[in-house]
Amino acid sequence: MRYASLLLVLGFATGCAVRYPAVVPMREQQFRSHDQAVALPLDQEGRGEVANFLEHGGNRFGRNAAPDAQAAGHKQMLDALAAEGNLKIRASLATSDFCAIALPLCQAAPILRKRMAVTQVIDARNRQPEVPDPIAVCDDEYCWIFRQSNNLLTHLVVVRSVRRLQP
Amino acid sequence: MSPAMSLHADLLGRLQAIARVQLVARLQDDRLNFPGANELHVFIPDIHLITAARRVEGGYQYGTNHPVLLEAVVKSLRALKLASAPAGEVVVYQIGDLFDLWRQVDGLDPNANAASAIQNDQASLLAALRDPDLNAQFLLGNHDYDLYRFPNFDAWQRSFVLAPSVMLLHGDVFDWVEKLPAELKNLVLFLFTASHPAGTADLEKLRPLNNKQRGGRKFRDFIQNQAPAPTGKWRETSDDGGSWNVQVEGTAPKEMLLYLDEARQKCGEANGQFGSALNMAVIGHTHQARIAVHDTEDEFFTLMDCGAWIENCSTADDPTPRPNAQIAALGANEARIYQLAPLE
Repeated sequence: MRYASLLLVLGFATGCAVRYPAVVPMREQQFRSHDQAVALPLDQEGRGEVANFLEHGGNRFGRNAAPDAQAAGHKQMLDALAAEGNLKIRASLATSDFCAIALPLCQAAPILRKRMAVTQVIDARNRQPEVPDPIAVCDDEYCWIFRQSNNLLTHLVVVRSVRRLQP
Repeated sequence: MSPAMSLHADLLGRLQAIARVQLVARLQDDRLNFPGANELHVFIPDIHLITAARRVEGGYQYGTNHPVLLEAVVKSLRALKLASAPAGEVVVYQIGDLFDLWRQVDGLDPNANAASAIQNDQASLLAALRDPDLNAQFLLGNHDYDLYRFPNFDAWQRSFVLAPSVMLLHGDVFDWVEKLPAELKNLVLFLFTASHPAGTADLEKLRPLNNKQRGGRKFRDFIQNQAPAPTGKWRETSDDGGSWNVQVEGTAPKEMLLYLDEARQKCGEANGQFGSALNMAVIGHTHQARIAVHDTEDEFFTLMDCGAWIENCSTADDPTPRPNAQIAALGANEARIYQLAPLE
């Protein structure tokens, strides 16, 4: 009974608390795929850099390969990002549904389906927030941070999510 | 000619290179106590951006005036700032209601999607305003108050004190501050001091009050002024000095003195409580550009309302509606408001 009451109180407390929007931080050098975002569509070299980052568990300076639990989804994603037609977006849509914004990419890379678009990307290297807003979307372990212009995804950095369960 | 006088002239010159410029009002008076010989503070008032799609969807009959000109003005201010440094300092402020979240979304915007959509839809203007070299300072208005919750906007403030004598705020607090209970009145008073800037928790406490002002209104036909706002008599610009079109309490029509008394009272309270010497308030919010003065033997107080880039205004000698497109500048004990229009 006491536990039930406690849970009830906690439920009310968290439910009524002010909720701040999701944020994606630009990670430190080790945990981001590039220092300067790689241009889209991905060419062979860019694709190789992102793939290498993912193969090393999201550690750019990692010496050992690490198993990627989402390897198949990531391969689809890299394939999709190499095709210009998948980069069209609707940037002026006021929604958190990433697939509503980037429908072609979602169709080609199902790993992104039902994921949330995050526009509050924090990059402490910048003097001011970027305009237009970067759009980030996180899968289970990585966040894909896209720069955009004129309703096209133009550049990409992949970072290891701060919410990743395993170090 | 002092450096700030030349900064006023430099600003005017740059504006005239890209726009038709008319002088709405000018106040030159040492009692402003804002001598700032080598600095110029430039104020861009309410812009009220929404996305083009939302404007159609919401059936809004009006929008931001002259956005292309506005972007050119912002870029010109950046050039002025860079050219003036290091001898002179130009500080640019957007004084609230840059975004109009109230018209963009019907309810809360919990994840900054609406703000982001507006920013993306108006990317070139926003990129100019958020250019690191311009380093514009932003105020939260009532229509974009909720931006304080988002990390990429949390440097935006509710007020600035420009020492020693000038209070800069959006101005919406004057709509309701006198109706508040004492505790909240005190909280609002902290907006009027540099020593206790409003933190996120304070903004959170005042948020319900801000939302109450929205009150389910749709703003389909207008925000502030259904009819063009009166602005007195304009004239062509020149640097011949002296004051122009200043609304003096006691002689000016009542509608030209809106919030003069409220601002004077609040600044007086702040002076009493915090030991400051505020005798001028710079605001936007009402979309009515004007300089109003309370001038008695024992007190001199000025309200500069910088106007807007939305809705219309008219002049005393011409009732034709003209799109609000004003900026204001302050330095060397001189305040000016300009009306801009695209060059033909």
